[in-house]
Amino acid sequence: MGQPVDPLTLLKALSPMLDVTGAVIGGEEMQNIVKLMKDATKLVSRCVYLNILRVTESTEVLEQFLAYGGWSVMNAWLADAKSSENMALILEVMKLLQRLPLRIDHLKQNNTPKIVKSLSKSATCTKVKSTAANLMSTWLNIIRNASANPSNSKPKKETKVKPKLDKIPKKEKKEDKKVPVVRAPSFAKIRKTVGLRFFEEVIIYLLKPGLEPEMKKSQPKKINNKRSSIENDDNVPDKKFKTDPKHQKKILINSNIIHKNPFQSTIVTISAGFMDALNSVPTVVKRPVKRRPTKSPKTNSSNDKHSPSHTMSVSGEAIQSNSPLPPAADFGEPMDHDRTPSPVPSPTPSKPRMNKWGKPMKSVRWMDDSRLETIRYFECEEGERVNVTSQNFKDAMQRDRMSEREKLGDFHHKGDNSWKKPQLIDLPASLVEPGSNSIEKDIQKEREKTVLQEIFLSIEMVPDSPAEPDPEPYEMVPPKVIPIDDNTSIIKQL
Amino acid sequence: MKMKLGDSVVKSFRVAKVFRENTDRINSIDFSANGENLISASDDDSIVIYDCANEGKSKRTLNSKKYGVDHINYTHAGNTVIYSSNKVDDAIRYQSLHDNKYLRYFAGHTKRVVCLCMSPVDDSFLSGSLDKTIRLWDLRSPTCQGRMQIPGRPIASFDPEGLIFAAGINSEMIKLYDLRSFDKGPFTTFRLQQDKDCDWTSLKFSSDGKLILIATNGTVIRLIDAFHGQPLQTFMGHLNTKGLPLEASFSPDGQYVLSGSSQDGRIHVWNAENGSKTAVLNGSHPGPLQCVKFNPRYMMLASTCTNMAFWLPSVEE
Repeated sequence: MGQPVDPLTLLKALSPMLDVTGAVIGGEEMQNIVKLMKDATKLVSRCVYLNILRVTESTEVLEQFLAYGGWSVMNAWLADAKSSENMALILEVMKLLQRLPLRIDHLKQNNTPKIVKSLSKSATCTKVKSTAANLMSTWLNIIRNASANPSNSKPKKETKVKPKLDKIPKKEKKEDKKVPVVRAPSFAKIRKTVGLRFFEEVIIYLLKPGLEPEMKKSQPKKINNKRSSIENDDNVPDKKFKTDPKHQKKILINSNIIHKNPFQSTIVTISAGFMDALNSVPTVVKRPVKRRPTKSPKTNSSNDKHSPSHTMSVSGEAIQSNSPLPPAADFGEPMDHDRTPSPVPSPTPSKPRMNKWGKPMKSVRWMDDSRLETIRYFECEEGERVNVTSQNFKDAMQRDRMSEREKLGDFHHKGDNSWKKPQLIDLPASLVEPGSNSIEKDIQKEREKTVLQEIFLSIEMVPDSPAEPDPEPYEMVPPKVIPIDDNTSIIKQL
Repeated sequence: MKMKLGDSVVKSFRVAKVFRENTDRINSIDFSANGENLISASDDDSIVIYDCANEGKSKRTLNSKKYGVDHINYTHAGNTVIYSSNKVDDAIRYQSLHDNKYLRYFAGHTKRVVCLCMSPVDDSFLSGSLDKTIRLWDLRSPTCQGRMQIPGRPIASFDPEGLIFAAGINSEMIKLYDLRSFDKGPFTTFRLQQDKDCDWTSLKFSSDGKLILIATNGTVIRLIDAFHGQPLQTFMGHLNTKGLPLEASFSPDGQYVLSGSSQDGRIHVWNAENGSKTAVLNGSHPGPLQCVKFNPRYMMLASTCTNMAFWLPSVEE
């Protein structure tokens, strides 16, 4: 889960199941994809799947999608996107929903229609609202048709039909039995962790100076390229994605859809979506930073509310919107760490310092006076019987350390106590009295009588260098040469 | 009550005290003639004086940060030292420890000094440098008394009576000079088989003047007859894998030869007479055991790496 998802890798992995346009080839492949989708928890992978499905034209294949449980997956994603107020993702999901060959039993199966309906009424984003309304009308049409012709629950390809309907009749029949149950709770988690992590990553890449301009330029094209790359890539399991800066760019584009700000653009083309997403990235930036510590999906929503204004002012100018980002986004991850503990440190120094050891430590900076006064410290007398339970850990540790040091010292100064005045060695009388012919020793003796001894009470007092000698006049006499050879000498060859 | 030095005593030496006064290698040590004090010079530019006979503790620390300090030697006053500089210049400096003041500089060498030897009797001293000269000086004058040009790294030392000095040349010859007529050339030359894979790094006479000990920066230590120049022993078995000029020294009676080891923190002791190994003493020195010296009068040893270790025999006599 913690691994960032590289959409390109993902696409490569999926490519055997996709045709040239990036659409799913057939029913069997669709079955696999649905399975994968159920496990897809990250925004990146979800977006990839959504895009794949959106280019899948074949109604049969899409029906397979519904049959294999795609419908409940969509429901879960939508619910999830709504709870986290991820308008961009909602939009993406709804765009797909619009294309699905739904039948009335699908609509009855879960609360997707309810979600869409509520979106069509209460969504803060007008684009989401209109799309939801559009979707609602399409579905009402389906229901109407179904009620008009109960025996035939199969709708025609009315994906593009947009009739006006207001209600979802409850009396349609089922056909889809094997829709698996999707574990809804897991999404909350995803929203908080996976998605965020992904954002951070995207942002970081976005900010890489080298990548940024290139990205901007290639945005519109990229989408197409990406599409085709979808089909060309090979099969790699979902989990182990390696990040590669080059690929990352694409993630970025792809994933930004999720954060696309609905206010920004009303163009419904895919590429516009990507563009929007890119431009709106700045608004997203703060999210990971703020959200993670709190772990609350609510924060996300509040951020989302701010986002429109940000984005508006930026108005799709990628350079502007991106440039202020780097500092914040670049440190998105580190800041997270910095921030999360930040509330902690203040209590930590004060509290543990008191609590852990039970007495104040050297620094009293964090203490308040009242606390300091409550501490009582008793010096234990040597040999005094002590209440074991009242002994605190620090004292014990200190004692332990001292005794260890003593032992260690003993070891190092092996037998410090073993020193005793050494005995004189029984030696034959010296050949000469040492220094007997020294005149300088007498000079020094005289000198010491008149010159005060330098006494240094501490090592710090000792000067770096002795005093310089008194200057004395002397004539430079070239030294006598000591010859290396003497012809008169007897050379012993051995 | 004096103690006789014998195999059992040598084998019983144990570290009695370790001092950690220095932060870098102790490059040289010297006992005072009465054996009461020990002075050490370190690459951390400090000089530490120890009481090594009575209380066994460090007495005083002085700095020579400006010029550095190496090859430290007591002079006869007991409170004065000479040492070579390893910073600024290659002069030899004469310092009064009493008032922490230089008394005189002996300038002349143009490269690092690698040996320095005080006359046991008078105020003269010898120095050898990588500038391929050996110089003879007198403490009372800053001017050089004698200068010998040699083809390679020099080693030089006085004999215990202070009447002659020996110069090792090219790791193959020992030349003996009479101090009274050194300008006439050596009175004798011993030519030995050249040590090709190592250099001679120090030369010492035994206290009776009969033996010459030559230490190398390789894995051999040679013992030579000081009168006739015959090679007597070659001591091996200590480690010196890093080509360090490890110090080798005689016991005060000349019966034993001691050397440190570059790795295992041990002191190797050989019998000078028969060349056999008498003992290997574990000093647990963490670094190369640079200096080992026997106290000239007391039954104690000092060995150094970055730490200073004092050794005492663990047997009573």
